[in-house]
Amino acid sequence: MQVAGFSPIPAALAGLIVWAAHFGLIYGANAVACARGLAGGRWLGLPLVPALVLGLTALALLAVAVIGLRAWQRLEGGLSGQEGENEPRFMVWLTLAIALLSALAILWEALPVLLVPACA
Amino acid sequence: MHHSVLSPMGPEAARIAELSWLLFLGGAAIFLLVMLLLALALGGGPGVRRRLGARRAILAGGVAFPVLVLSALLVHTLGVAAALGLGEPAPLRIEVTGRQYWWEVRYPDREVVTANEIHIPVGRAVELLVDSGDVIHSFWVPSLHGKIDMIPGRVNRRRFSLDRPGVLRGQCAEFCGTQHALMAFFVVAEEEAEFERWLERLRAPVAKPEEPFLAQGWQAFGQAGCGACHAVRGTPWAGRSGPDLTLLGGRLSLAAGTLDNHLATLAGWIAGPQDIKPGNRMPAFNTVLDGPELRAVAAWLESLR
Ligand code: HEC
Ligand SMILES: [Cu+2]
Repeated sequence: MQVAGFSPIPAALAGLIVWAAHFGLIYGANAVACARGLAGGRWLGLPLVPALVLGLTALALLAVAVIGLRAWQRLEGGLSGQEGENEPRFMVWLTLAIALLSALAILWEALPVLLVPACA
Repeated sequence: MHHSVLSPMGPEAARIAELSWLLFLGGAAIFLLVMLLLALALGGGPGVRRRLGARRAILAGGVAFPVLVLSALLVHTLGVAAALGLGEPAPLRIEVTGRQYWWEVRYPDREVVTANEIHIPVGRAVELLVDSGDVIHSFWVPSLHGKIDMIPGRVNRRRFSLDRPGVLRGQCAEFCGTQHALMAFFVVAEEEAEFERWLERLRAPVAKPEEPFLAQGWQAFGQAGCGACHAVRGTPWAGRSGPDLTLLGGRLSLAAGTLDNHLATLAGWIAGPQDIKPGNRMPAFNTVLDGPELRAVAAWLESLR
């Protein structure tokens, strides 16, 4: 995965990027639905806004799970990069920890859709 | 007078007050716990310090504990927010429009308009609809409910009710211009019968007074052009860019909570509103009205109650 001369920092931040994308998308989707009067709408029999938010949440959780799992495997598997170069253990650990934190934040920000009416 | 989140006057405010206490006491308890652990870490024996520094203790206290506490709080808070959104059908509707720097209040089902004071019968479900006539304001009566933003072009709604009679103070809670701080109002919670009597008086057209001094005030009010901005029910004056003045004499305050309401403050306001509340939208009349006219206008307005 490492490109020569490329800093490992983006890999560590991958979880946060997924979290930010999820946040922006559900915020925008909810706002548009409220502004366009689609809040009570249904899609394939499901309530539109909750279905959309939960779908995006499942996708985001899947993405952070992949990021977290790969970091976990690298921690377990001795950490040698493809070119035989050692990746600092700390950065891999950080990737994993940030993925977990992002998963928690994604769950927290999806929760309101189940508990509060959409455009109250 | 009630003007505090900790002095709730209705069920919605009571739930918000409970939440405030939960956060305040919970935060205090956790703070004390952390200070206790800090003291142990600094002054405890080697065994205690080893256990406090162990990886397991750090994961439990630094990760698991905050995640659990914050998740529980989030679910609880969202539950409170959801419960606050519900209400009985067919409530009393009250519309409030924020303006620089006062509040227009309408009871659309009763066809009355007033300003800077909202009367509410106790025990009745109320639906409040707020918007703005100019910039963003925020409607906040701490003993009634949370802040409700007033946004031009958008109507925000809240349901609430009040348990017992009393006077509640409200305040604009979003900076809206130079006189934002002097943009307050009062909520008068009263028994249903009293509320209906108030509505009756508000609905009755104001007739030209018989008494010569008050009649002179009526005359001067018209000649000075007050009616271009102010309405008085039943008269030819129907301006909407200033507060409705029907029943002005019965209000608790003048100029959105700025002054106590009596003859002297009223005459002072009409003569020099820019000295009292600089930058507000009412021009001074000290050069338009002479002394006797000013006293007569004030006396007539004060007699409307
Ligand atoms: C150009 C429009 C305008 C004119 C003309 C005007 N007013 Fe006002 N008046 C206002 C506005 C706006 C306010 C609200 C000021 C504030 O509180 O920010 C106000 C407030 C008041 C209040 C306080 C109302 C309340 O609810 O507390 C009184 C009383 C009053 N005006 C009387 C008069 C009288 C009497 C005249 C004529 C001599 C007059 N006004 C002329 C715009 C006007
Ligand atoms: Cu304001």
